[in-house]
Amino acid sequence: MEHKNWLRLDNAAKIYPAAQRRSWSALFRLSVDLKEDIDPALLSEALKATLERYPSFRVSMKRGLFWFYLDRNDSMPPVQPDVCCPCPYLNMKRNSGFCLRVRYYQKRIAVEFFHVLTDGTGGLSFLKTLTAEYLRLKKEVTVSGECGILLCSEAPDESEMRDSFLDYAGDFSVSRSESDSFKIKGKIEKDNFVHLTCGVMNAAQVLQKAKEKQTTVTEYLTAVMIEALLNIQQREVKNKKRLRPVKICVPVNLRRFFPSKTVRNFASYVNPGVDPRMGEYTFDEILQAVRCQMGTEVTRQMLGAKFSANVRDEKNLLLRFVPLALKNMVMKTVFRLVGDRKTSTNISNLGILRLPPELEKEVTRADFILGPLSENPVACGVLTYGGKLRFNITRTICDPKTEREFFSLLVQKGIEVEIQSNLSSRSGE
Amino acid sequence: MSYCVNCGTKLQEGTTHCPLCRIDSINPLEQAATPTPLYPATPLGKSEKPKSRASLLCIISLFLGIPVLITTLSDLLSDGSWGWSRYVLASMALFYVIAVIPFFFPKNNPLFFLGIDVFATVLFLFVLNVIGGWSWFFPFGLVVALGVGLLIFVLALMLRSGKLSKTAKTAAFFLMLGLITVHVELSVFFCFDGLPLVGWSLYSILACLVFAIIAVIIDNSPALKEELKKRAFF
Repeated sequence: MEHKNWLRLDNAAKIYPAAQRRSWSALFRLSVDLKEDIDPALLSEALKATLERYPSFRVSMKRGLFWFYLDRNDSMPPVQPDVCCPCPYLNMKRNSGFCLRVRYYQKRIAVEFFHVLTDGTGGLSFLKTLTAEYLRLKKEVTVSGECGILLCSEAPDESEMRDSFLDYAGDFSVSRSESDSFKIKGKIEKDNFVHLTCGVMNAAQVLQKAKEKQTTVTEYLTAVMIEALLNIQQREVKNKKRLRPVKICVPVNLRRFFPSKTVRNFASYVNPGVDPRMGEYTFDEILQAVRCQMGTEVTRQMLGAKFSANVRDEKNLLLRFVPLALKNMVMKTVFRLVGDRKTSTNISNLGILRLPPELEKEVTRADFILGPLSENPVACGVLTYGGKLRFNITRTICDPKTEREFFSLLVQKGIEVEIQSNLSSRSGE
Repeated sequence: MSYCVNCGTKLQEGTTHCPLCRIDSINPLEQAATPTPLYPATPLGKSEKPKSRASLLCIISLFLGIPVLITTLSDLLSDGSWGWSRYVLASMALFYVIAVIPFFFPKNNPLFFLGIDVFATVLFLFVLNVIGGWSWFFPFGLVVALGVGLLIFVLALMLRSGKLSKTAKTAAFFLMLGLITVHVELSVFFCFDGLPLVGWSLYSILACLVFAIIAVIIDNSPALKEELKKRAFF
């Protein structure tokens, strides 16, 4: 099948180039640990085959007259040794123009994606295929195309590159207005260092706790984070009139509700939270609020209406014919006013990582890490594999108050948490 | 395995202090071991650090020099003397200080930049006065510039204050705007003969006062504030 050599940005991706700043771009990272040290030459070869299979990742972002677009890039992204922290700034020019970065460190393969390319689900599919291809080259491990792995021996399918937002957008949209939320504040770390704290928990134990409260794991963890942030706000903000709602941005995979094979962005979000100005909340009350809000908003109809509003804006004739330079300025301003201000932090849960048995024997660990957000200094990524739930928190401020509060609350609720951190990788620590 | 005595979390084998609480947590029963670092100690490279603004700002500075150079050359070549292009040079210098200089600083400090802008404006007016051979700088130009600068400084302090609500800040903005117009007209009166004490600024101060009073009323009426928020959000 012939493929176009260029792609439009999907609906969700359009905001990222505009929101990008000199010192920030929307990145996330997925990594797997194998049983042996990584061979960079083999990894490079595996990457070449994987990029052929994922043509929507083998691109550079370019400026058009009215919109950014993704142009096919025939060079190869460098396979680089890892550095002291995850998701540092991505300079695409120095990365051969690519919007993704492949790293290795000891037994770990990591891929860092710019959000214009894909979301967590698409990124996971890419990483699984890359790992499968690497193991095929190293140990002749043969893997079938299951669990989201796209075989490199097969040709890419056009359905994998579709902008599914346009396929499912309806005529009715809902308002996206929300109040501003509590902001985690602190002194920004110097030298652009990103702190990573990984809380490793027994997945079954977390699931058991969530089931006791009749909630899902995501709802449970979101409620604990809300409780943590409420405690922090109570300590820091003495004047009750200056209290703000605490809301968490929880991305939702739209593929659960709208069938799609796309490996590009296809996710929406929900912002459950509570407002402490209404009074104090117990943990059970927070949990109930989160459960109700998620229950109301995470439906096919509500999610569809939400992204229909974005698609309607994209199709607006007036907006389409505004030159990109002007459009960028407006979108940048809107993003600064609206973007991350509406939530205190993000919790993105990719669920359980499922692998074919041949890969399960080789993969010992998997992590999902969100890069620093635009306005919020703390972001959380969750992934479960091998019976372990790994809650990765990235932070750009010096004080680990959010992690300390969150993990100690989990311990108080009876969940054992093992802490791992990249603090020792910081030069001078 | 050790546990942190403060937050209760389990620490990586070999770790002697909690990365969250920054306190020592040593398990005397555990043999000393070096924990496997989660990330290498490799510092961030050039491609992982944000681009420096310095080179871009230098290019912008050079570009802004082009109209100055062209106008100066045109002026000098036309009649051999440096005349009207001095106004262009002074204006571009003022524009440069107000619009470009702040980007050379890594931190955003509006009050500091405001001070620099007022100083640059005073200098600009002085240069205009000297070029034109006039004498209005000290009785009028300096007074107006310093007065307006002071009022804007006070307004900036009020806008940055966390204690005032949005509507209170709106009231302060209109009040200051009105005071600025009165200050300008009073300065005109005292500097130039034959002009009335209060003229056009009366209309502007009255309008500004009305807006300020409306903002104060809204600020003190929660129901009205809520109704406005409902109807006028964007």
